[in-house]
Amino acid sequence: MFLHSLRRQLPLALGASLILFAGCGGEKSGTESPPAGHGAAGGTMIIGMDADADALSPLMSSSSFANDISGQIFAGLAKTNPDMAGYSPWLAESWEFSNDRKELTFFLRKDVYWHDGVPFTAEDVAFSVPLYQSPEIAYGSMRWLQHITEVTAVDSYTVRFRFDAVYPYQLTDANVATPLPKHILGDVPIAEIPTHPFHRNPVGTGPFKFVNWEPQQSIELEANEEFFLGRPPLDRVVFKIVPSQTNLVTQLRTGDIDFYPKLRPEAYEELQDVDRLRKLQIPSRVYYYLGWQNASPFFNDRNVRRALTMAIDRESIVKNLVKGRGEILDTPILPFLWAHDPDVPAIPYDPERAKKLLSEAGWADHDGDGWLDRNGTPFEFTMKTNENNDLRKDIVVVVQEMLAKIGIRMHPETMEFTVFIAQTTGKDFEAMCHGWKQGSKVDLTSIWHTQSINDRFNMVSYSNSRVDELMDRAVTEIDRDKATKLWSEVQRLIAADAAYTFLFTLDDLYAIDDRFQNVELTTYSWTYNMHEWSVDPKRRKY
Amino acid sequence: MRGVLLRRLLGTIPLLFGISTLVFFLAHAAPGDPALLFLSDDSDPVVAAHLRHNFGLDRPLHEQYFRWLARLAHGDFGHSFAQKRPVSDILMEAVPNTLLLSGVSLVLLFAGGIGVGVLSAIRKGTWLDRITTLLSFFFYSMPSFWLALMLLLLFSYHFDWLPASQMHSLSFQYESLSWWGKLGDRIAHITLPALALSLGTLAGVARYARAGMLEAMQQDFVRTARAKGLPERTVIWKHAFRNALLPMITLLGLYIPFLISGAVIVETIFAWPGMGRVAIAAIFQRDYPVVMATTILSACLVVLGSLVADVLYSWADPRIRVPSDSRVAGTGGTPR
Repeated sequence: MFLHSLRRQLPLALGASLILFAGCGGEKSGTESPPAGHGAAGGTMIIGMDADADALSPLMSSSSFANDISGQIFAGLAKTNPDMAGYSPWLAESWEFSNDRKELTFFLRKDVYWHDGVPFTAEDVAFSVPLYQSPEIAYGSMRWLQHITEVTAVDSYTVRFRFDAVYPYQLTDANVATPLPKHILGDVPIAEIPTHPFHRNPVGTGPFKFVNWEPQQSIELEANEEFFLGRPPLDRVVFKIVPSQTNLVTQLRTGDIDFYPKLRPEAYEELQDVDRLRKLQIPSRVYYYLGWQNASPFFNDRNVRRALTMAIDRESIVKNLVKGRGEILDTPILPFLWAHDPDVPAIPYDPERAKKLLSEAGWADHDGDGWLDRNGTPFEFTMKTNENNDLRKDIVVVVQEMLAKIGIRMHPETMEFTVFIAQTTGKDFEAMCHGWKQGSKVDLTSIWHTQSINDRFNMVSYSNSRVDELMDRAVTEIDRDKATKLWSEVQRLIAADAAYTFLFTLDDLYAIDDRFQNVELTTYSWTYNMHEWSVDPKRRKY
Repeated sequence: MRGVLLRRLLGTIPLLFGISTLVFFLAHAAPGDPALLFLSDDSDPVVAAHLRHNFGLDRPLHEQYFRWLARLAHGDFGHSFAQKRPVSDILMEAVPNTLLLSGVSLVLLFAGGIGVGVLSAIRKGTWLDRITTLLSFFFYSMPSFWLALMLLLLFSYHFDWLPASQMHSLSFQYESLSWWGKLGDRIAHITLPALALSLGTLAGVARYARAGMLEAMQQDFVRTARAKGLPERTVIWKHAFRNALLPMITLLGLYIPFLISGAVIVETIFAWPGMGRVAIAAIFQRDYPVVMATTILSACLVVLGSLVADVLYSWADPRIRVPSDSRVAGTGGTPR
């Protein structure tokens, strides 16, 4: 069931940055390779989407579906490998660091053309990076480009990035700025770039060309005949926008939609009887946790937090609420990442020991009312989570019951997502049920560093000076083996401190018509090899 | 008449102004920062600050309000935060689609409702009357989302007669159709959403039409018409029916705004690219310019709907027609 492959020999470091994640969903990894057979080119795939895109250029799009689509229209300098631990050549054939590692030079392919026929050159790269760095554009991952001081086109097919720092994610950061066409945007004043029609009518260098976009209806792409790795087998990919999950599932059944990448568990269950659809379950980048406010008098004691974790039967939660479509987690670094330590000691489910730990900390039923108290204060608090996420709401209710069994009274409180985010990042909570989506960098500082307490994401006010020190070293450690050791120790300390009760990672659920071949879905992205997808020629529909 | 209309129209200006002011401050008072919603990444407060500046959210609220008002006075709704393009572009795409769907539904629900109502009134007490009464209550009491899902399951999935979503087939197939083929394709696509939107209200209209018709048929003038020896058809259609129509006009005024705002659920279920979906998405994304524009537009449509009903009313019922020399709006006199 967990099919992801871990290839550790790849050259470059990746990070895991973290994304506040809203609903249930997100991309993941794990691969599934149907029998390879290079069918003749041709055919159309219709992919269901539950919301419209906001923009289709890598510079302006922020929704995840829009990024999936723009990733087919545009190509980056290097392609992230499915294990997120390294890169493969893409627009760049190769790259090298200078001896002081302050310069990174990319050697570009010479056979790449923009979809309008203009050759792609180093000038496009040198033009694009400053756009991604511009405050006027406010690109979402702008911070990733903060150490790039200069990008120069050495010649038409060589481009050099200068850095003001040496750190493991230099290639990752240089690769963030997907090249844009200078011949289209070069003369546009920067203030007009965000609203330029280009973002809704994009011209890229990727495997598929943009054809049309009918708002709230569909987005159509066609094969790029001039794609540098050869024309993709599919003639056409149409993204059909259908906001109702029931309708999407109906159309998967009738064959009006061939593929839907973000199925809800109940829909996935419902489709099990459709033999024509291949159902795939792939570990996602999302994990769920309970966060305890370390600054609160209830949760400032490590042993109390450990006791709470011991009182929660995570196995039963995964079995009953997630229906087995997830795996218990004990560390903040997900299993598909190179830095994950599989041997972090888990805190076991043990309500008896939990009670013992609590009574050692002074929490016992002194007044005989059946609930724990200390110095006259009952152990009673509120756990917050957001609406529109039934799984989280169910978890909170189940946890309420589990805590009641050891004499702790918890009150669930749900609120709208944006309110929830405002309150949790504002540290206005005692306990919460929340989730993180793992980004592509292994970097826990924004969540676990003492200095981040004043920022947004160290919501639980976690502070451990040893963890701070190890992380400070780890984020600058170029040597992958040394970094792995440092992150391993960080994970053990964080797990032992139990500032979070880590619950589980969730799987992504997919259904795809079985006439499609060579579809490889990964935790990193379900679009990873779309340029290789094909249709069984005998079963082509359109 | 024209003077009354003009005064009614002028009267809507402070109303719309009040609505928009209220919505502006309510929307901004709701928690949630649009800048943070567009930052998908390990977000940097600096980037968020830039975004807020780009959106104009770093200015004091009253200043934002007056800037927005000034732009609106020039007919400029501003730029959508989420889609980074003029709000007017978004509206130009979505509003015609919504009007098409609600227009078709409106015709369907009044033509159908009145037809069914009159028929069951004429055939009062027969099996036809009983069946339509039963069905009317059935559809009337059914929530529209459930009806929409049932239609979807029945006609798209089970029978596979009608398309389940979108306004027309995907363009790579649609573009190759003939003119007639395209028309047929569009009719097939609008059938389910239009039915889902109109069936419940159609049933309601049918009940009103039946009651109105029954009442009209017992009036003195109908008895007189019958006594004069007029053919039954003339009695029903010319005398009774016309009078039974009057309450329908009140209903029209009530349903126009409902059809525009109530289409959200149906639009979502059948992936109809209308204004309801734009409005909902904008609210969740805190896309203030779009929220404001859709609110003002719906308010305008509601006001317009009741205006249309008033005009139709005075057209249909001479008793409330305003004398051209009078400056007083004739709202007195309840039509029977």
